[in-house]
Amino acid sequence: MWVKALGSILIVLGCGVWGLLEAKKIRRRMKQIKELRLALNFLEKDITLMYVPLAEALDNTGDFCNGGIGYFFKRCAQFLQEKSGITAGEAWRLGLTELKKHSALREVELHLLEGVADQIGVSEVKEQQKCLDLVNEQLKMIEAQNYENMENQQKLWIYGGFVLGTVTVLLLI
Amino acid sequence: MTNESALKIQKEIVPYLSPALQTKMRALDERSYGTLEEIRLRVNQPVVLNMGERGVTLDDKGALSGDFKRGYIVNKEDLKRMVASISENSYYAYEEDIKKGFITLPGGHRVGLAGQVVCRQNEIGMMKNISSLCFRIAREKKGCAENLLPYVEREESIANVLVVSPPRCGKTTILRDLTRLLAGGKEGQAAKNIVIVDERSELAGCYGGTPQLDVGGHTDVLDACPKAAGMMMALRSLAPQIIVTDEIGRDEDAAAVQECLNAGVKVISSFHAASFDEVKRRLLTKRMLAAEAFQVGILLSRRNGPGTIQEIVRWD
Repeated sequence: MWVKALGSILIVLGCGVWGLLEAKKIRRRMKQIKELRLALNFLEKDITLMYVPLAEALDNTGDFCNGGIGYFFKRCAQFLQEKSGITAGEAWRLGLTELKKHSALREVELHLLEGVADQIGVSEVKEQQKCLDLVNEQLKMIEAQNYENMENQQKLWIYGGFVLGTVTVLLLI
Repeated sequence: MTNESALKIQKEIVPYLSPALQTKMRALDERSYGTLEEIRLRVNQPVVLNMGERGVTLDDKGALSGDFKRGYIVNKEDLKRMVASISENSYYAYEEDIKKGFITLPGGHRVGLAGQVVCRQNEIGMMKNISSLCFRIAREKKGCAENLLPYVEREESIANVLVVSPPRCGKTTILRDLTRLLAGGKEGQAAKNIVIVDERSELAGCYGGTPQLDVGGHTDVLDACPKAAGMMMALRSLAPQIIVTDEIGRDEDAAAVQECLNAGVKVISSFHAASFDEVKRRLLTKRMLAAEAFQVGILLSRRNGPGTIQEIVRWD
C-alpha cells in the first residue's frame, strides 16, 4: 500500500517537474530571442557605423550580451581570430552548432540565423545592414507571435504535467 | 638578413594565403624568401613567385620550378579564402580600399586586387568576383638613399627632388629611406618636419593608420589621401618643411606641387619614366621642369638590382 502511494506521488511529481521545466524553457526561449535581437542590433551598429572588422565586432557583441547568446558571438569571434583560413560563414556555422547546445532556441530561429552565414562579412555596409535588419525583423515577428501564446503554453505545460502524472497513476491503479 | 626576411614573410604574408598555399610556402628555403618580391595568384592559373628578375612557380610539393605546367593551380576556393583573410572577413570595412584596388596588410605589404568592377555614376562602386591577387612584399632597405644625401641637401635647406624610374626599380624604397634620413636629422643639424602624402599606402605602409615602415621620427603621414588634396591639407595644417609624395601624374598633382613651392615648402616626389629624355618629353613633367619645379633628378634602374642609381642630374 505504502509502496503504491509512494510510486503514485513520484509519478505525479516527475510529470509535474517535467511540465515545469518545459514551461521554463518557453520563457527562456522568449528571453533569448529578445537577447538575440538586441545582439544583432548591436552587431549591425558596430558594422555599419563603426566599420569594426568582423572578428572584433562579434567579440564586442559577445561582451554586450550574456549567456548562450553571448557565448555564440564570442565563439564565432574566436574561430575568426585563430586565422586558420576559416571564412566568416564557416565561423558563424560552427558557432551555431554550439548555440544549439547552449540555448532554448528552436529550429525556426536557428534556421534564420543559418541564413546570415552566407552574407556576414562578405558584402558592402548596405548589404550587411539589410541582412541583419531582415533577420531582426523576422525574429521580432516570431517574438510577437509567440508572446501572446506564451502564458497559455506555460500553463498548459505546468498543469499538463501534473494532469498527465495523475492520469497515469489512475490508469495504473 | 635572409633569415629575418624569411621570418617576416612567414609571419606577415603566409598566414593570409589559403591553407593549401600556406603548406607549400612554408616548405620554401630561407634563400628563396630573401629574393621574393611578389606572389601573383590568378584563378585557374599556376601561382607565380617573382624573385628578382625571374618568375617561378610552386609545384604540388612546394618546390620552386621554372616549368609553369607543373605549378600549383590557384582555384576559386583559394582566392575566396585569401580575400576573406586579407579583408579580415570584413568586406565592408575595406570597401574603400577595395575600390582603389588594394589592401594593405600589417607590415606594410600590399595586396593588389583584380576582378569584376561595378561602376556607379561613372565611378568605381565596388569590385566583386575577385579573380587575381598580387602580394607585393614591402622591404625596407635602410641606408639605400645615403649616397643621395649630398645631392639632395643644400646649405640650410634641401633641393626639390624628382625620382624617376620604370616600375619595380625601387622608387618607393628610395623615397622612404630619403624621408627617414631627412626626418632623422644629423649631428649638429635639426631634423626636418616632413609630411608624407601616401595615396596608395606604399611609402609608409600604414595599417590602421600607423606606419609599419620606418619613415623617421619627424614625419607625419596622410595615409590613403589623394595627393593634391593631401598636399594642400598638409600646407594648411601641418607646417611641413618637406612634402614627400609618390608617383605624381595628374595635372592637379602638378598644381599642388607648384602651390607647395610657392609656399616655400620643398617637395620630393617620384615619376614613372624610363629616362630623363622621357621626363622632358612628357607634357606634365615638361611643364613642371619649365617652371623649375624640381632642381635634382634621380634616375633609377634594375641594372644591379632594384634601386640602382643610374644617373643624377641638376636642373637648376
